Amino acid sequence: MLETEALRKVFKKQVAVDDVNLYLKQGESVGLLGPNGAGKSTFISMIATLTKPTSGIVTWNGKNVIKNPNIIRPTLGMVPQEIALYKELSAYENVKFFGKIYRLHGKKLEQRVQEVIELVGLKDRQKELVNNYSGGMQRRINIAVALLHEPEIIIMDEPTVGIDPQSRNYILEMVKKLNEEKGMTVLYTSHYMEEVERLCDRIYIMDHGKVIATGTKDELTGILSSEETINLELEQQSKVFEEALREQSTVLKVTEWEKGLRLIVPKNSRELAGIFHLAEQYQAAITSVNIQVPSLEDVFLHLTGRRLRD
Amino acid sequence: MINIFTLQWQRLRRKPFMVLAMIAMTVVFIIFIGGATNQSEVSIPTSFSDEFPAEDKAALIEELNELEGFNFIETTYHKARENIALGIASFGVRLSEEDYRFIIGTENPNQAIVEQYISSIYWENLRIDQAVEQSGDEQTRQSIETSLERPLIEVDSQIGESEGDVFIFNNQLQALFGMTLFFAIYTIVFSLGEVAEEKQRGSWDRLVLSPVRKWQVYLGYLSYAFVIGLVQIFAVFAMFQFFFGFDIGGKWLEVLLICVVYTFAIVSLGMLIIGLVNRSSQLNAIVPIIAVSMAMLGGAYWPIEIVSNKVVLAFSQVIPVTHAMEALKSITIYGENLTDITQPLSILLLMGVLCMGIGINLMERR
Ligand SMILES: Nc1ncnc2c1ncn2[C@@H]1O[C@H](COP(=O)(O)OP(=O)(O)OP(=O)(O)O)[C@@H](O)[C@H]1O
Ligand SMILES: [Mg+2]
Repeated sequence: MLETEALRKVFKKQVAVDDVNLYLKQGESVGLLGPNGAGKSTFISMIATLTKPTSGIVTWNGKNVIKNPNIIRPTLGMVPQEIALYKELSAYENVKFFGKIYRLHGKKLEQRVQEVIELVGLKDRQKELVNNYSGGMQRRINIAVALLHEPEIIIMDEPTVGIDPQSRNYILEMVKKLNEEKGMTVLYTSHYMEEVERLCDRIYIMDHGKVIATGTKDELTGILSSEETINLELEQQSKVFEEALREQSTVLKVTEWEKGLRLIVPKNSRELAGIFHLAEQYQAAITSVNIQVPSLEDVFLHLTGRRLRD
Repeated sequence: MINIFTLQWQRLRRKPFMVLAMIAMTVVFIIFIGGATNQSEVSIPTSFSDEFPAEDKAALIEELNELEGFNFIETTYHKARENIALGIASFGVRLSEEDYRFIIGTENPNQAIVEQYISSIYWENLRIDQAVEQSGDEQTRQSIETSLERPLIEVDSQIGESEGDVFIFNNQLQALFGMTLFFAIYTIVFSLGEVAEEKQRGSWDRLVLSPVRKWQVYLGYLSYAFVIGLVQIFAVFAMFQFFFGFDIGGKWLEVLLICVVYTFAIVSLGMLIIGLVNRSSQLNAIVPIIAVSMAMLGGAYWPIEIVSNKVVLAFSQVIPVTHAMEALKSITIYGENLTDITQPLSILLLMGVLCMGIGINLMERR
């Protein structure tokens, strides 16, 4: 129902979004995962018709959104990365104002306002000024406002940045409920992989403006399924042991980490016996062995050679 | 549009500090500038040449002292020089029967005012003297003098002319108008600055995505800035008229019209400024610079009439403050009518339309 084709945005010196193809089916929950500056915000702001793309198209139910933004606007709920609220007003006043802006009035307005405030769990504190809210509560009202006009699709730009675990949990559960119970389509942006892992049916991983991988969580981790990671804890680092491991044809890669060595080996290669044998030969004392199942973090590391967050 | 307009008032109620501070500053500055000089008049040591008839001295001094804000004090030439040299007075005058001379210590804007006034008196006396000489009759002098005091229609127009040449300086109203117009710039432009802030905060995006049209959003903000500016100006005017005993005169409708047009011009100018800078931090830096230079060049701090520099005068023509000050003073101090101020008003309107057009265009370009 929502689709982008070769969507691209170039700022003066830099390609922020580089020919991104993405689609969303009705009722789906899709995650957009990427580190700071990956181009996530720029990408979704093009989908939301707030930024004009340099090239490429966005379609909503087959209709070109870039030519006519009003095709998508009424059905779109947008949660900006910033707290887009008037902080000197109360939460209630904020929500009500945006309700009026969406042409709600009278009983219907009051009813919707109460519904969304209740949804984000701030009914008892709605009369307080947004300024006096905690970061998490501000984020929740920020989401509430986007839900006022009962959108079909909600786009959330890092809605959990910099907040306490409780609020974060609350928001994640809420989004899950909206998606599963109300059938709302969700595009969720984050640089926390746990969030998209927990929330999303499909995931796009983005870096430097490009989508570098896409699929379900299992498909993505499947990229690494032909390999596994063995973490060896050693009493102390041993150069000779490390060299000996490198010589082994079945060991694909050896890297040092603070407590010992990390090996990447083909899956099910039954390499452990050989490793222990070598350790004995070179008198390296292994204190612990851990075979790692790949996570999205590893996928990202594998694809880019960098971690999602430092 | 109404929603956005009322939202701003709702926000103002919670955060009235900026507007109240601007009004308070206006009041303080007016009292300081307008009040201070009015209590202590400018003293001018006045000496006479030796051949000046002693019996006429008192009459001339009295005539001179009709000039508001100045006190002519009779003294000797020697004493006058001494006072000026010591800096007690910045200038003095030495009067002869046919002409007068200035004794100048330091340059002083008041000098031009005094000069014009004295010269008008001398011209008047000269004309009477000539008339007397021609008829050779002392009675003619008396009849001319009485008719000047209770003038006939023809004579009246002559007096009107000679008085029109004199630049009347009303320090109270100068300070009132100048400071009010000056501080209103801050309130208006900073109120509009909310648009820039809104864009930074992202709530602008919400408005863009909503069914509200963009021009309605702009109109909401513009009308708010307009009303708050006008309210501030009028609140100060009313306060000084009714509680501080300033005399703006009865032409409130004309004054209102001038303020409406001026506020419109400043709102538009604000739009232009916001179109040029996009961050509110930049706005905070640039607004004082613009407001202060406009006030200086536009005669809000001191009367533009005392400026003689051609470049400055030319510059002042493109500044809204100049024309608003001119119009306000015409109506209140010089007692002119609406028809006399159509020129400054149309210039202000033109400026407003131009700035608004360019400003909105610049904003939408981004
Ligand atoms: N208006 C702009 N002008 C110039 N460059 C921009 C602009 N907006 C974004 N960029 C650049 O484009 C790149 C992508 O930015 P974007 O905000 O889309 O990243 P992001 O993935 O949302 O990052 P974050 O996680 O920090 O929000 C960044 O390098 C940024 O500096
Ligand atoms: Mg972002």
